[in-house]
Amino acid sequence: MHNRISARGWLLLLLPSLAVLGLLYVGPVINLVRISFAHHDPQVGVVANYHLTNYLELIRDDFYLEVLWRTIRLSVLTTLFSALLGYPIAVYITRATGWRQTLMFIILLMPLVTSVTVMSYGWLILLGRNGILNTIFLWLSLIDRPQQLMYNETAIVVGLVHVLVVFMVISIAASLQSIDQSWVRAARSLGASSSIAFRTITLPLSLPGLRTGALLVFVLSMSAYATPTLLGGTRYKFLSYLVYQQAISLYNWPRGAAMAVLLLIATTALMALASAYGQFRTIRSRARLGSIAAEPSTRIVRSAA
Amino acid sequence: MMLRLYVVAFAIFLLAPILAISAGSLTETSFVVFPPQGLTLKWYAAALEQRPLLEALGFSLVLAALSATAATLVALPIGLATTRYASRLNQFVYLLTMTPAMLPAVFLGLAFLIGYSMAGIGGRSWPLVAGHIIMTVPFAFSLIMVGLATVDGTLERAARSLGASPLTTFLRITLPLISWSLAAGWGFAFMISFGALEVSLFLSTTTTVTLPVQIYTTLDWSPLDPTLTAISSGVVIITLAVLVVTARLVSMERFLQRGKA
Repeated sequence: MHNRISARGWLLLLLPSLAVLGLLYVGPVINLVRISFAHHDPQVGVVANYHLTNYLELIRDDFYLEVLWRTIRLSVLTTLFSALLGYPIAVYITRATGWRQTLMFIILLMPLVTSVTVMSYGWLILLGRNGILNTIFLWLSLIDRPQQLMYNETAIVVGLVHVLVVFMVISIAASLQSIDQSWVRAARSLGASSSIAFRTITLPLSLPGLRTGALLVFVLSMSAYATPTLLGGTRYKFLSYLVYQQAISLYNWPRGAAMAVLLLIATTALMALASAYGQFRTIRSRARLGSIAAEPSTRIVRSAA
Repeated sequence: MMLRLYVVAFAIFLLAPILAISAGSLTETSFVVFPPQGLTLKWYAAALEQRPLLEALGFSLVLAALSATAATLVALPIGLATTRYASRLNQFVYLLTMTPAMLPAVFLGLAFLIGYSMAGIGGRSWPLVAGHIIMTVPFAFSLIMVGLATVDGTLERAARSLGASPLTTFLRITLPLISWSLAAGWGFAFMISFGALEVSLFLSTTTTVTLPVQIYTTLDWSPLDPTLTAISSGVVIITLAVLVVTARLVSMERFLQRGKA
């Protein structure tokens, strides 16, 4: 593919695009970080007097920390549920063929590409006091009066899983599809039950996809704005909402910028932590598997027995 | 069998809010109830008379088309350069192009708001256009990369060795082969821009309101207004149309190939 190594051609081709990205994207991002250290004066606005005050104030603020903790906690839950609920769908989507596959693909993408506001509005109709679920529950006599199903943390997690699960499914499906099915057949022919073949072959080989999916879902959930705001109501805010409130409603750009930077740092740090832990686990299990890999057939037959 | 039952249940979960909106928009009552009381299309007619909603819809469509086109034009050369030239900086360029999709939306929104207004391009709709271009570039880019990965390099080399210039090779060989991925990338970028809320919330002014922003702010005032349901299901229909066309262009296999490429 690389028939000719020409630095000039490479640069000429890239120059216009890089200029657009540099001016409209990299510049504003660096500027945001700079502003996060600036001082906010209620009369003047941003004052170019840089220190760590914004950050120090934030990490001492109990309300901010509470919202940060909620954002992290519910994002972890969203990631877990997306993995559990999405895995079987990924299995189905790799097995299905033709229109079934296309249809499932479109259904999965629907929540993603439909505006989040529209989607949250749908949940309001479903979960509200006069909503569909309440009507059904009343009709089934499961409850005797309408319950408030919206405006709590469960509703936030349901809404987040709903929009983000597609990332999990596609990531897992991509790695499921690259698994050589003859391995599974070999295991089965050697007497492994389908569940053992799944546990010892398919599941470990799909872990890279599971990991990618988990990272994507976690990152997107940490930065979610509309779903938590509309489904969580006034009591259960996410970090993104605080950023918006600071910058737009309170017009405090430096503090809002500091919050946005901290949100990014928290997300990246947790991701790095999770992937470091994942790597540690892989190394350990590789070391353990090394001895077994010498005779995989005996292992499968033994566990089948 | 169990799996198939689960898949159906899961599909219902995914479609439930969308179906609720569509069903809710057909009610006779002046607030959304379920099941809808009587069937009528009057709220669609009412929505067509709501000037702010219609203006926002028109603005969103233009904005999405504009930013998707610009995003495709920005992403295509990056795709070509990083796949057709060997450079140690390719990895860096790739990351630079993809990161807007990974950064928190409010982080981007605030960076754009502060950056653009300090640079003096605030006001009017330019900040929104610029922000939406950056935000949608990664999505156009990832589909263009899928397209470029499927093109057999020997075809391009053959054209070059027969004396075609790089430009001719691109126009006659590469472009026709990847046109489907350009179209799909454009569609994907369009949908992302059309549905985007956060970045638009930061950059919208009173005269430039996108549809998601308009719906979001109206939701605060009158949550169960059936006109809102009507316009929302209108949005769903537009999105679904673009999605079906895009999904036809990119089969599931092609999409998953990306993981292996």
